[in-house]
Amino acid sequence: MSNKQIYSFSLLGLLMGFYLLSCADNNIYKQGKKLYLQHCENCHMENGEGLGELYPPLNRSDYLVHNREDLPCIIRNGLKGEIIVNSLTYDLEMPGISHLSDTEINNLLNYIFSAWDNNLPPSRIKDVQNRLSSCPVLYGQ
Amino acid sequence: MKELILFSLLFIILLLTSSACGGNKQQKSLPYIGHYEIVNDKKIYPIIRDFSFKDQDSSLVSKTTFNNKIYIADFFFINCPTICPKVKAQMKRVYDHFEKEDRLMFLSHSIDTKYDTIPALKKYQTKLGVDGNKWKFVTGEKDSLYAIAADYFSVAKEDKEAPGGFDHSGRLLLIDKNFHVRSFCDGTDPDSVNDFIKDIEILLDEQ
Repeated sequence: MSNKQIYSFSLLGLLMGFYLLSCADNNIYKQGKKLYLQHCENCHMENGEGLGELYPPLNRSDYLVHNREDLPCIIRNGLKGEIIVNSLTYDLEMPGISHLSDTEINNLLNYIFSAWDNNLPPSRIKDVQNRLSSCPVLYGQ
Repeated sequence: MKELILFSLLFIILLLTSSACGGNKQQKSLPYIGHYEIVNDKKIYPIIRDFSFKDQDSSLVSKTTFNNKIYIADFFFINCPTICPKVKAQMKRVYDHFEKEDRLMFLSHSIDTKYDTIPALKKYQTKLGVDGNKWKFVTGEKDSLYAIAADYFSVAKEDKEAPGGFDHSGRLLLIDKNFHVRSFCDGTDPDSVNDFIKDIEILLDEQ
């Protein structure tokens, strides 16, 4: 191999390395993040901070910890009525995202569980599927 | 030698013009927005039409409410599943930024006249973390609300196809004490709102 070729290869290697580095994101749940930006960010905001006592936070939210098992069904079917999050009462209706698949809901949950300051145990697709197969009957359904 | 003098002169001129430009930037005045008519050789810009709405405390809100004030206007509805929360978060940011400024008020028009009743608007205000009299959340005749949106270069209409049942734009608008629109921004874009905050400061200086 000539010197020239060695140089070209190392250059190529370096470029690829940089490319891979530039792709690196703190959060590994790419689809979950995309779904969050698409469906959740308008109300729960970019950093999961929510807004006043209108839209509850998803960052550092005790509701996520205490109601972990209900979350898949809440994402799919929405939520109506009062809830208490970090000692504050919220009661605006949340619309469901009915067209998301079980896997998409799992990816979305995993993004939220690991985004911002959150460091919750990952959601598992088996558990999500189980929960979604027996969502409680909601108002008007 | 001749060249040296010429260059120095050129340099001085350049310096002077650039500093003049810098000065202009500091005292930038805001444009008037909208199509003007020419009457007696003067440009007449459109103003917001007269209005009469009720706020979250059942008080009448009209042009008199904003006497000698400038204000920021937007259109929203409480059960909005799309851009409203983001726009409200930005509006709240502007509100907090100018918390101690008495010459500035806020006017949020609800376009859902059915569900956004006066008590609902009151609750919304409280839950947003806003008190006092500076920020009016108003409701009124549906036709008047939809019609006045045009004066604010905004869209507000019922649309069964749109998420939540209403179509509307997410602009924040800056209105001067003569009811001219002087600036606006995209309420969903924090950078656009940062520029808007600078425009508010310019208008406060001007008024």
